[in-house]
Amino acid sequence: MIMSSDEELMLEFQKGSAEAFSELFQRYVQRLYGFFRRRLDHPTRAEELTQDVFVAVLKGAARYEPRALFRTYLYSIAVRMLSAERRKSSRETAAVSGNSGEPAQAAQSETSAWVRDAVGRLETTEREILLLREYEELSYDEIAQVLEIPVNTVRSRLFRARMALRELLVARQPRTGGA
Amino acid sequence: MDPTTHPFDREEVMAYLDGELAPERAAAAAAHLEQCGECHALAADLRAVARQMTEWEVEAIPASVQQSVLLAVEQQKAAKAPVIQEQQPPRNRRRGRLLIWGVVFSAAMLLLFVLRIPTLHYKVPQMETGPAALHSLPSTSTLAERKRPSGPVPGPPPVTESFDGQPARDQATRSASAVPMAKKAPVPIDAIEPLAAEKAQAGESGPMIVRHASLAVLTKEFDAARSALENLVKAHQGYFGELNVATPASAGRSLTATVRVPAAQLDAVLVELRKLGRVENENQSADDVTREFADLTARLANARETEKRLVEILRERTGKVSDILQVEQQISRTRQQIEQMDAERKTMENQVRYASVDLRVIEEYKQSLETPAPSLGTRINNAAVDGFRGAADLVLGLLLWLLSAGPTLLVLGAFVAWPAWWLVRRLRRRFFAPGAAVAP
Repeated sequence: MIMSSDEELMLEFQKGSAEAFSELFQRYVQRLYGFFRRRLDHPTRAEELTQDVFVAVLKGAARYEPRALFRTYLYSIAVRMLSAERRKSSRETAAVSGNSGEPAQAAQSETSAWVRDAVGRLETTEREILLLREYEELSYDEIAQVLEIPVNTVRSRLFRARMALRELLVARQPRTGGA
Repeated sequence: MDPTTHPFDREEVMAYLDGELAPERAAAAAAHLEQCGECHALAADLRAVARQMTEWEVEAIPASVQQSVLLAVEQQKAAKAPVIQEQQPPRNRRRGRLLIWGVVFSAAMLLLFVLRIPTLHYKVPQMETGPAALHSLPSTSTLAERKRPSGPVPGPPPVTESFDGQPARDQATRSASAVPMAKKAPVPIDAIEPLAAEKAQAGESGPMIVRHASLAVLTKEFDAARSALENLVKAHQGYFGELNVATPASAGRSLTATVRVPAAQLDAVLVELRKLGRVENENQSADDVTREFADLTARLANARETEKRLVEILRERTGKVSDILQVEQQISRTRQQIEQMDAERKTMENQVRYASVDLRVIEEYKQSLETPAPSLGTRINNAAVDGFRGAADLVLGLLLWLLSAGPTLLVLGAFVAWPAWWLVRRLRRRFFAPGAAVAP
């Protein structure tokens, strides 16, 4: 079971193996939580959405076809749920992710907070591509599939995002004194 | 970056670091980075950014979420109707939103339904009651385009084309058979089923009749009757629900069959069946199931609407696990009901579409005098065998009787013998004793 690919596990789960789903869950729960946690202010919402993604996988298991990688499938669901969540929260509050005080973030290191702020300043799509590449470790092709944009766009925007982040990093260097 | 001095643009350098270049290109990029200071510096910057980003860490997800989801999986696996003990705090806001969406969707469906009613009444053709009239509709027309014929359809409809575009098969079958056709042409199954359903959905007034007949026929030519029956059923696109043939030694053969034929052809089939011999008994009955069918169709439509609504709700919402599972449970129940009703409806349609005939063909029994008599030797031999067998049976029977009744007789004898002996002696003494005649 441990050695099976994600796709094989998903097919096993289709046949009724709860262990297969459990294994997939263990593989991706922390990563998915990280996905939402880095993009949302509220830890509870991140937890709920993580849970919702797995429920969606649970529900859609019968329709799953291993044409694409499982993680592409999983993050596509996550991205859709995130968009829905953002639409909803933009209606409900004017607060923008990344600029509100969050108790759970207080414990983070200074560098961590800085990175978070810097990433928050990037253009939305560039930020999304950068996060998917750096933290979710998706390939260019996978990012293109998840965000439904061409691969070349992924590459150029990822480059721009990294360059922008580098500028912010350089600007910060004198203040931090090479910390 | 100048392409003449840099065979790799900056994005390619990044792609190389990300492992996104083809092996040959990646090897060339690695070699170039060794030599080119500018590209080397760029690579160092990109690595620094990546390193910096790793500083942003996320705390571990609470175990309660893991338990909640895994529990849901277990329950879903264990039962078709899973219910999860929700561990998350209630989210009334989301629930309220779900409710609003549900109400809006229901209202929209209701509105759609109301708007559809006059349209249906207007567009659905008023078809002839008999399936032959339905059959004569052009195959290419859709239901909405079909119009009611201005008058009754005169004579047998020549069109044999079915709605699924298989025209000639039925006609060929019929023309090949020797059985003459009655008033109405046979109707392909494919043609009837959708129309029956449409009729019911549109509230069409055409009755749904389940027809049944029973017939007993006495025939002299049993074999001919049987083959005629088989041809007849085949020609009318019917089938045998059941067929039994009995051949007793000292009586005529008999055939009992349940024949299913398209309802429209029942009369024609009966006419043909009567020709098999002398009709001894005939019975016909018709059961009107229009109301039951309409009722069932309406319930089915409602169940389908409910299912659609539930699926829509499930798609729109992102609520708690317990809510989702409850909706799924409801969907599962609704689908079960739909399947059940669908099966019932198909059975009913089948009964309407195919009339059943309980047929009994009896052969007129004739004592077979023409069978050749056995030879004299055989007869003597048979007589000797019979005689010996009779004697042996008699002896054996007597022996068996003695064995079985002997003990009882002995006991009875013991009781009866002594009084009888006493009586005999007494009588003998009175009448035959010396000097008895002169006794006073």
